[in-house]
Amino acid sequence: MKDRIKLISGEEISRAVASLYSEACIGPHSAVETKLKDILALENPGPGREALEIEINNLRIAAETGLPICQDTGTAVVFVEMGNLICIPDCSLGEAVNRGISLACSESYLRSSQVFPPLGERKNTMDNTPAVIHLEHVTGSELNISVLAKGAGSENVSSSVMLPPLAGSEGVINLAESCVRAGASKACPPVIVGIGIGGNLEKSGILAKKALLRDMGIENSVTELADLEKKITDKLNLTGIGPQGFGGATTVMETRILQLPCHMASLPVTVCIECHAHRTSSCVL
Amino acid sequence: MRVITLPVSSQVLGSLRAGEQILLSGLVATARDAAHSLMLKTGSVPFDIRNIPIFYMGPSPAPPGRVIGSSGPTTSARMEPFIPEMLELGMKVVIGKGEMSEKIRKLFHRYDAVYLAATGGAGALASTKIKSRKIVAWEHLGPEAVSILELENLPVFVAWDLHNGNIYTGGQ
Repeated sequence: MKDRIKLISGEEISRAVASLYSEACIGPHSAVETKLKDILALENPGPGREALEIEINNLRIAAETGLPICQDTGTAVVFVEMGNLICIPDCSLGEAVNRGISLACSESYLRSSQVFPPLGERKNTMDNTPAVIHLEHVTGSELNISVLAKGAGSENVSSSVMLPPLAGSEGVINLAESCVRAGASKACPPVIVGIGIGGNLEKSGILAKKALLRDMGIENSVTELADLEKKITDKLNLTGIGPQGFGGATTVMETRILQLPCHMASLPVTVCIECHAHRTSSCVL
Repeated sequence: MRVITLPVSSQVLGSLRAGEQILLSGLVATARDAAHSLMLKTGSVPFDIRNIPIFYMGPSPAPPGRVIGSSGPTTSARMEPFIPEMLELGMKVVIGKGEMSEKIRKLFHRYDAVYLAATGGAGALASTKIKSRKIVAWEHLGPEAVSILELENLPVFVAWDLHNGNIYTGGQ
């Protein structure tokens, strides 16, 4: 047993997180770029289409110049799947991850947006730490890390609600629609809609955010959820809100849902709105 | 596409139409939540608010050899509580992103003010359109410090014009 343990140093994790966070913020993000170009082909002439062209050009300029895609380099949300055979001998996972975020912030000139305390002084922490870390302990000897740079413009129009237990798919659709109608223009559309259904209050939020990590163009493996995703995307695109809220055929690029069991008396649902730039990157150590 | 040079005359302001993309050149001042709060608390606006538009923006740090880092707009709706007083002080042009409330739109109309929307998230592109940056107040606020920027052809969209035109409702 002992010789199967895999040692990974805190330093190695910090370096990996720093690279992932920089790559998430700067790109290139070819899947997002391809998707936006596909959407562009469907848009009629007008300010929405023109804004979409600017969004696409911006991705290219960021990758060429090394400037962040967006000045809001977000809250660093770090999902870690840690195999049970992994051992980090010299520090905690949280210390290693936060050192990586801090490193990326200074090396890649990312903006620090974290302030403390949240009430009153709201002083900047100066290195964009702490990251929000979600750890899952799994079997195996791999350490899987995904970093999502989540901006406030899209986070501020997201919502967690405890629905009546029998609200069903209609309840989920209505929540997604109210978030998008009220907030999409502030969230730099075309957006991705992440939805977490079930768990409990906090778990639905983590699910919604984790749902955003699914690769572009991949269908949900649960048929009912794949159908619901398509229904939500199609319905929300009828709003005509369009790129940047300037009008157009595509307000939502994709809807992505994850579910978990929940209490029989509850239906926790979170709708997490993600901007068009969808800045994420992952690796396996 | 029209190139609009700041400061803008009331005649040019009146010629703008919702939905139109323009290229903006000249001086703008950056201010976000914390700077607005301080401006109203201290009663001092550290730039000529009648002639210099406010750009709701807090940049990422400038890498070596660059004037400024990524420089896209932030959400305008967060500044709504400060807008009535800023309009009263003479603010004529705002640059931000996203729809604001109908109440604020009517107020813009009453004060003959125009709302311009830059492309949210397009901070790298915007950075390449900024020729200089000078911090003029509250440097300790970091990205939220008030600074004067010189723009050269920054693409923005006329969101609310002087004729009740509104990009967020299809220009109607």
